Amino acid sequence: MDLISDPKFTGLIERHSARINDPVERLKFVRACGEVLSDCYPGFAVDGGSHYEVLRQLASASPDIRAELSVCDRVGIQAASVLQRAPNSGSRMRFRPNMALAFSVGLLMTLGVATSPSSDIRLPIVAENASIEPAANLPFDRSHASIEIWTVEQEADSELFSNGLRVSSAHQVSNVKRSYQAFQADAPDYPADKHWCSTPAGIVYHTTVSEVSPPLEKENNDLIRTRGRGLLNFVAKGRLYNFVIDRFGQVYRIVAADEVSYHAGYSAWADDDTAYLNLNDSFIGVAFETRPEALSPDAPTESRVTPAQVNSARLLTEVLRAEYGIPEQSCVTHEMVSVNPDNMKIGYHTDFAGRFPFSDLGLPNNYELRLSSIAQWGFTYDNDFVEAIGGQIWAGIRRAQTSLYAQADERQLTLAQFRDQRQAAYRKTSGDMRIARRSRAGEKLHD
Amino acid sequence: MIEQVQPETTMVAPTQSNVRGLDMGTSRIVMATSRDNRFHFESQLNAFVSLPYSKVTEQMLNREQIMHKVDSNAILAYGNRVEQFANMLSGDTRRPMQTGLLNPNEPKSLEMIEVALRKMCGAAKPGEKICFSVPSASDSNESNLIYHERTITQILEKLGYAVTSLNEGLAVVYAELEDANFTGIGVSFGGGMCNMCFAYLGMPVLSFATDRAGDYIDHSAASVNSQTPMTVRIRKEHGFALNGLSTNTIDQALSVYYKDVIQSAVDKLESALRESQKVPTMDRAVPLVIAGGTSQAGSFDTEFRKALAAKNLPIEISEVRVASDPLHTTAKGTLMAAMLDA
Repeated sequence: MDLISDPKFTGLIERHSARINDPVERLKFVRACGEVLSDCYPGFAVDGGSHYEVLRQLASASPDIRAELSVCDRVGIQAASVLQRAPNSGSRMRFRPNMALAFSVGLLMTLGVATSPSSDIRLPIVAENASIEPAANLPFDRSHASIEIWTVEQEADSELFSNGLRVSSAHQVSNVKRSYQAFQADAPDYPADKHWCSTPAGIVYHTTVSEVSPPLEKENNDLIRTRGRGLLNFVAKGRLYNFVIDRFGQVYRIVAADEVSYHAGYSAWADDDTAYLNLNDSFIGVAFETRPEALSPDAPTESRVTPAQVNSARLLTEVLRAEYGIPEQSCVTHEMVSVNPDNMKIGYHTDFAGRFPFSDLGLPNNYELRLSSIAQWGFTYDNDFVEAIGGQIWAGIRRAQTSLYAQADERQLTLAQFRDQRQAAYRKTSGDMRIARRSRAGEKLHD
Repeated sequence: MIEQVQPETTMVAPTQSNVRGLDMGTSRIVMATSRDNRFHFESQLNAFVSLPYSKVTEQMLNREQIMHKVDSNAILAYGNRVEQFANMLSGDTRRPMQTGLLNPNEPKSLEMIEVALRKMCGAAKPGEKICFSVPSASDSNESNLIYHERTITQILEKLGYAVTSLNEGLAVVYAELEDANFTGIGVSFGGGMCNMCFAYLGMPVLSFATDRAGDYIDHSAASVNSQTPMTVRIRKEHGFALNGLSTNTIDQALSVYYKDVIQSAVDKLESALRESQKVPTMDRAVPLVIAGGTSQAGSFDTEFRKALAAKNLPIEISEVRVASDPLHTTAKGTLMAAMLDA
């Protein structure tokens, strides 16, 4: 493989560029690294001293890269630098050091024993097995919602909260309580401790795509209300969502937030700390009653949800976040979490087609967040998905792909190999989860 | 006086007040600046018309803040509103640039470009930098390209700027491929040319162009319909879609020539990638971004994807998408290039 596209180097560059938010600074950084690689290209083989020379120059270009070099790399750089100065080392362009000698010299130098002049790099110790998973790119608020919200009044079929949210429970039904297992985000295979959680961990926003709902106009008022009631009855019968926000912005609790609704099926999400699979059990489903054209990628946001719905969603999100300590980055949309395990592709559902108005709900643009379905479980996407979301994938998908590449690099696997591993891990993990849930349900039956 | 064009603000940008980006397009000149963490764009139609001189006309142009220059017994009016004058005079506008470069067949090209740049950019503040876009060299334009680049540089240096230039396809990469670490293919479908650049980590690996773009579509569709190019362009810019079924003969001709432009671009992309020795062996697919006014026709990207899917390129394309702001992409890219050295 050409040096210029050697994943050893490109992965290193990508991991660090992902941490630079300013586009011009990022461009400066990648260009500086690219110039290092192109100085060595063509003609360099990826071996011995040329390899370490490239690393040395990249480290010179970026303190962050320098800090991340492994012990072996730093030893190699030191050794290559020393041996390059040896009288008979030959052309710098074709340097191939004796690796045992290089390692020994470098190790001695690192320990401060050798007296040869050191290179101009002083590198801190970095643990060999340190995680290189890039941190989230954006300064998200990791704390839970900090405002206090309480119930102002509770009536037979409605509840008023202190932030102005009124929730109707006229169509509420009961369902099983939540009980799910979560994983460490940086070790997302099946947990060993079998700890079960019952508190909702996040919110998934959906569209109902009400086929029969007429345009939101005054003369359609009665028909909209009638059709809306029909929708609520249908949702309640199937326990499809926890909350429905109708087109007038009225919020209906269909299933209690601490009970399961069947809104997400095959799905995956992760925040910085925790990963989740099949989010029916772990996430609250909030559905916006919308019209059929809302599915069109060209439909403007205002035709997808009404301003009244957006306002109600904001209030509901505040209440749920305050009550359950849900972090911002776990308030996501259905298309961000939906997967199809039959073909291992994301976007089985594309509700908001990448256009959910996060900022109107007081949330950051969570489309920037890396998709765990890709980064952790190796899912992919195809052109049909891209067309379904209007021809432009969002930043979180690109970041997830970059992360997948970087993880493959770290393990010295090709992308295809690593993806296969993660997909196999997904199948095993989700299968084990199903068995565990059934087993636990069986235990409960016998309790 | 410069005609005040409402600046359009899009996207969040680093704020640097001493840099400008300039898209020297055949159809439009777009200037980009950065203020208050946002990009700002000002755009002028790159065309002019000759009006009979009169004091009344001159006063009207001054009052309406339309760029103009008195030339013997005529007034040369330039910019966004000249099409109205051309319509009144039952004529067509004159173009200082053709196929991406100064128009050798237009005797007033240099003067009008100078008028436009003086008014749009103004005199530079101390230390102010500007970067302008240039097209890729094609088989037929290399010497003209050198002349064009040198001439524009001289005009801007006379205004006091520190001047650099940037390939138009690379400008698209800078503007749109931040998330891909500026690795991928930028394609600008402008008025005069279609410029393409394959970049790796922000460095241009390969850049090339075809001279079939918006003007080719306008002139070709006009000639088969006995219309003026301006009539065709107005139809093109108001709701035309490639996949639309229309009995309108202009629409039918537009569809044919749009697809011809797309096919030419895709053919050129394939041949350039295959023939070049410089394309590295990539371990991953790269994105391709389309920008430029000509790409704004409905379903343009769908047709482009179809044409590309029929090719067997030596590098894998991960996605084909249209730029977030196709009309301002090149200007944004040149502004970012100017900021690199600021």
